[in-house]
Amino acid sequence: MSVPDPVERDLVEEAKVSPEAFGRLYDRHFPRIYSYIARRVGNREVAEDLTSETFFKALSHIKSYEYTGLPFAAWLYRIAGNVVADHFRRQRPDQPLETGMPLSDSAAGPEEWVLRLDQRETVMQAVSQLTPEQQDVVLLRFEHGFRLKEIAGMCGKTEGAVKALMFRALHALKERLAESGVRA
Amino acid sequence: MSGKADSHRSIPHPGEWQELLERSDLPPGERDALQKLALALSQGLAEPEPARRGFQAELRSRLLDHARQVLIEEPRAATGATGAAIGAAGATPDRREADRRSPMHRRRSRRPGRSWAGLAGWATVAAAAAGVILWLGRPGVAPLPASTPGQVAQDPGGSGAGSGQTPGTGAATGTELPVSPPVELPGGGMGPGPATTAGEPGGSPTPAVTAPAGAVMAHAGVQAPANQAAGVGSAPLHLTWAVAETAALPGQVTLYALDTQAWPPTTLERAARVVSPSRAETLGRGGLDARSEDGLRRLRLSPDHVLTYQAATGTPGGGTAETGTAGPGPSPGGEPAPGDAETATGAVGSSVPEPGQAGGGVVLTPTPEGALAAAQDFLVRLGLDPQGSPEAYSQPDGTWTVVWTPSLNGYPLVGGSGRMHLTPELQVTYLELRRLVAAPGPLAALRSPAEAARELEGQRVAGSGQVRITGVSLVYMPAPGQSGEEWAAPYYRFTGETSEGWPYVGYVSAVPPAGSQ
Repeated sequence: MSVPDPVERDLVEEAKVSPEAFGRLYDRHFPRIYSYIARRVGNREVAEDLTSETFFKALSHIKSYEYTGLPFAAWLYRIAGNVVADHFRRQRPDQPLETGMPLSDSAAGPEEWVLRLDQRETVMQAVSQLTPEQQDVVLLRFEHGFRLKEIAGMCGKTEGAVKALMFRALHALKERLAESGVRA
Repeated sequence: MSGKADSHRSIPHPGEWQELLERSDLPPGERDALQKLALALSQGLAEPEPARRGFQAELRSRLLDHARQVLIEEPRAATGATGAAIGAAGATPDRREADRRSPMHRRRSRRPGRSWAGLAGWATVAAAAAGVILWLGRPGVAPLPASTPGQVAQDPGGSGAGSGQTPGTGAATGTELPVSPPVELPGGGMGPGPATTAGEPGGSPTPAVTAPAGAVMAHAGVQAPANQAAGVGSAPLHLTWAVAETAALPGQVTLYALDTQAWPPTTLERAARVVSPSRAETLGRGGLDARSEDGLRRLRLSPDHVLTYQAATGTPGGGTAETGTAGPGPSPGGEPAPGDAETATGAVGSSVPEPGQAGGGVVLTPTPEGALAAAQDFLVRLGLDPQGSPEAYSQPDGTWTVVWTPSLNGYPLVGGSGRMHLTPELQVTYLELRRLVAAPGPLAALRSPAEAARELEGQRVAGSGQVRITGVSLVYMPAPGQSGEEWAAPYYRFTGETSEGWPYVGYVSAVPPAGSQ
């Protein structure tokens, strides 16, 4: 179980009755939540809408939040993940998130490739072609630094299932890069 | 705030990915490539996606406007609207005033060297166990002009490790708390029992509570900080000691290491099938996550064996309404679900017309016995049998909290077993259970109640601050140790009355702070 942030736990409790405390929670988590959503949807306007929806939902449910051993951020990510999933369901099921740009640099391995050019966009092009579940675990792990156990709690899966999902995600990512001419 | 500053962010150590990627069927070259890829991903994603300039501030402004509405104004309006029902139940007719939450009582300074801290979660349950929910009102409450907005937030008075969240209260089978090595624990009893003051459920006024020393106590629905929403002023507590007899209290008691047992698979399976009858995959290896088909009810088992049930609330008319006290979503129509209001056979209270309600609706005012019956009915359906004695306490918003209190060494283990939230219609919306095992540890010498009571002095309490202590009892409360372990630690429970006539309950560690001996 992760070690709870005692300051944050106090803040969350206070936020149940205090708008100002909720504002501090928002300040603390906005950058990561926005970033997560933006990378999932790949569109700034949509990301803004969904980020708003996420925090308004968090506000409406803050009183029912109960500490379960996971950081408060995990709760927010779960809301954000559901909001994003709803967004895609509303659009068209099974639609790829974004049409990835062709990856044409065949000279570099994945590490060099990832570090090249605009890393964020390039990486996200590849990540966005993963399945939604794979995207979730990759982003939560690599962008946000959650541990596998925490991701398991957030996704309602076992740690083993998340491990397997992560493995498949990395494998798929590597193959996609290879298909695009990037050799491991 | 930059995402980089977050403690969660870290580039995985290669060893971690070695473990992740360890596959016998994976050629070493491919494994290396995946490891490199994993590291590269961490580096490539290190910077968060920046938001449009100004967007964060715009959204913040809108959110806070809405927060003021839902966190402050709507609760006020709601409490005013149900005043007639409460009045009919025997409390004050002006519930708008009476429902204001008790100001938060926090320690002003953190006590150094406290061995266990962060008791707020347990204190919350303790408060409920002592009948401490909120003020159900006494006539003549005079709001003071200025409470203390924001004060609590800056008060470093506690460990913070427990701010009103209960890390797994729970219950299990049998009437005895399992102990290893075996210790006679009359789990079904209450030991000395909670000191009962006027704060009993069922129409009596509920007391103000102070947090255990060294703890932060804040919990929506039980305790709330003294903020601008409270409307009732607070003052530093000044004690008048009027306890006749404390000689019966022991000079030392055994500390107990608490652990949480795994649930029997058959128990889990049965409960899971009640929640999710058509889904066979709810039970995995050691895990459980059963959801009803409509997704509105969920039963989960955490890795540390805390069993949690959450359900959405359903209105009697079939509509849905969110409550602030429990899980989201309603029970569906059709087949009665566990916890549905129709199972609340104990809703024997009077039906009171609600003048403030459109159409002259009916408000049930169940009794504590009714809430207990509904809780029991729910547990029977799921095949769960909590440890300890249940007690039901009404909340000012009409919801109910049921807590189970086992006894340990003849004293109640307050907040140690389980809790349940029910809607005013007695639909179960939240349940947390765990099966505790208590192993006797070292003896702890106790300080005198009078000495411990001094820690109450100066804590903020509602009203003028004058409190007359009339009773003291010894209880155990779960408390985290320094190495993450959990202990049942002895606490004195002081009961009394404020000069305004409100019952008062305060908890103070019976063990002197480290370094004070």
